[in-house]
Amino acid sequence: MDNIIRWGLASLLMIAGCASPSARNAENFDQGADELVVFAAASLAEVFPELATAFEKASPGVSVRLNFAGSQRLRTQLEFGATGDVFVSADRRQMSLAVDAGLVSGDPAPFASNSLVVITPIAGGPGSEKVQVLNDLASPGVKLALALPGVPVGVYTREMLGNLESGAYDFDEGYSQKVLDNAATLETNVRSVVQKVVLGEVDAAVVYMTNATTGYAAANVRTIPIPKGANVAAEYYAAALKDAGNPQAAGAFIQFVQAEAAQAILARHGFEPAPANTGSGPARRVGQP
Amino acid sequence: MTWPPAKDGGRSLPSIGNIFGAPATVLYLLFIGFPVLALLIRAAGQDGFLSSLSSDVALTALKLSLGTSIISMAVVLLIGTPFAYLLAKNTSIFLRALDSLVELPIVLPPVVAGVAMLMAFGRNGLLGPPLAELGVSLPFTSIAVVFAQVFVAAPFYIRSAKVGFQSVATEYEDISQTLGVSPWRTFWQLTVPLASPSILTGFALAWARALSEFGATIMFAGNFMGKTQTMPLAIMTAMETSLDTALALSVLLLCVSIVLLAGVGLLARRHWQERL
Repeated sequence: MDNIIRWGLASLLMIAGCASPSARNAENFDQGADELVVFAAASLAEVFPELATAFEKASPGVSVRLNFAGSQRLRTQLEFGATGDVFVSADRRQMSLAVDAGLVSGDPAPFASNSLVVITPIAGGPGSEKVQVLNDLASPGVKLALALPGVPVGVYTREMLGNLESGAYDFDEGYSQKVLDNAATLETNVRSVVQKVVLGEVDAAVVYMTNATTGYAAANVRTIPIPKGANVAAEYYAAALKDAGNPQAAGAFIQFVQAEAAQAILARHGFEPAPANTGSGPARRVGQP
Repeated sequence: MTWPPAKDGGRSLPSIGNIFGAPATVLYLLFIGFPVLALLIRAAGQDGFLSSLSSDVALTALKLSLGTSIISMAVVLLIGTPFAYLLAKNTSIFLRALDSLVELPIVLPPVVAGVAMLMAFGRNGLLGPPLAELGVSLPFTSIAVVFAQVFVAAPFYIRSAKVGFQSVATEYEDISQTLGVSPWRTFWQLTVPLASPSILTGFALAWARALSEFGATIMFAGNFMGKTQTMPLAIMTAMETSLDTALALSVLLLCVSIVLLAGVGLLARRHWQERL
């Protein structure tokens, strides 16, 4: 009797685990003939499903499968032999590392950009009052969720904090370090960072504008804007992979994300167009050409 | 051959065992051993192996892992032992039902365990506000790491210890007590020694599980060096930046786990021999 209950419980949970969408998306990379496997940065998790549907409609017979994670993890997965058709990175650095590793065929195409914003839990919850202005991020006892220094949003966050400290704003010396010291956790992708704020477990976090203004989080967080001159432009790049099982569809997908229909979807989700000049390092300050 | 076969005619079974067992064993050993070997070869082949091993990240994570898991195991022993004893000796319907629930954390995906603990002890969890009034905040602390470890590891110990206690016939304990030995002394000097092989095995499994705990920890305790970044989290973090460090950390955790399992295994065997 014990065993029946036990196994019943176990199999139920396993079924539940297998049926979850993330398990379907992420763990099964074997490719069918008309399947396009896209490895996409975690910050695209809200917009890419819609984009993929639009692409499927435009190119009948192709079905898109999406694998979301931090860009650096996707790149590592690919380096270790995961097979996909397209790699979409949230920064130039991870894309150039992928190029250096010989994973990519052709030139990566910039197709969108994003900026940073500070988010806090919605009013009323614990910790929702602690961070009102950017200066509060450095106050003692404030709990922050940030991304690891290797994650694109983590790189941008550190750069933005540096810009705030060194720019003509009223931040004390050591501001940037104090903020970093307030991190209670360093996450591996931006979605985990957002989630910590939505759960109300931290007082604030630095995420992409699109995370804060669209989708699920929008109703569950408040935003504190970052001055334009100190903010950074996160650049998204898409590239076809050398080992693509479906190189034609990969090429078509990369064309598609740059085209008008996809750009409209991206804009609706809060993304900005790709910066015209992309030759100036991994990220540029917004408003400085 | 005579019929019926002699009582030890079961001896013919081992040959069947050999025919199917040997290839299966080789296959299985290759399946488990090859990746472990590959890990060791790759790790040993790199230049910075020793410096990675003695790096700040590695030592901090190892210290935290050992510290938190030792506390976790103390909690597991303290709570788990009497609980396992009750489960073994009491046959009420309530406890039989409870018995099948003990293993819930084993079948529960660790991430779900982490979410559940956030819902219970998180700032917005059911116990969050009263805890906050006491000035206690659990998430992102080393205590949260211990919580996660106890949650996932305790069932391994309780299950095994229960089987150990069940193997001690209640008659022995009754006799001991009729001879005037106190229940307390009977427990420590008769029951526990007789059940010790199972207790030790369960202890080792639970400790190894606590050391390798990942999913619940990253959910409930977050990832911060020196506070909540245990070995598995450090490996995951290193994997995102430097494979070399990740490999070195993996080898380190592997060695610690092997030493632990082997050490407790030896102890358990000695206790078995004493028992026989």
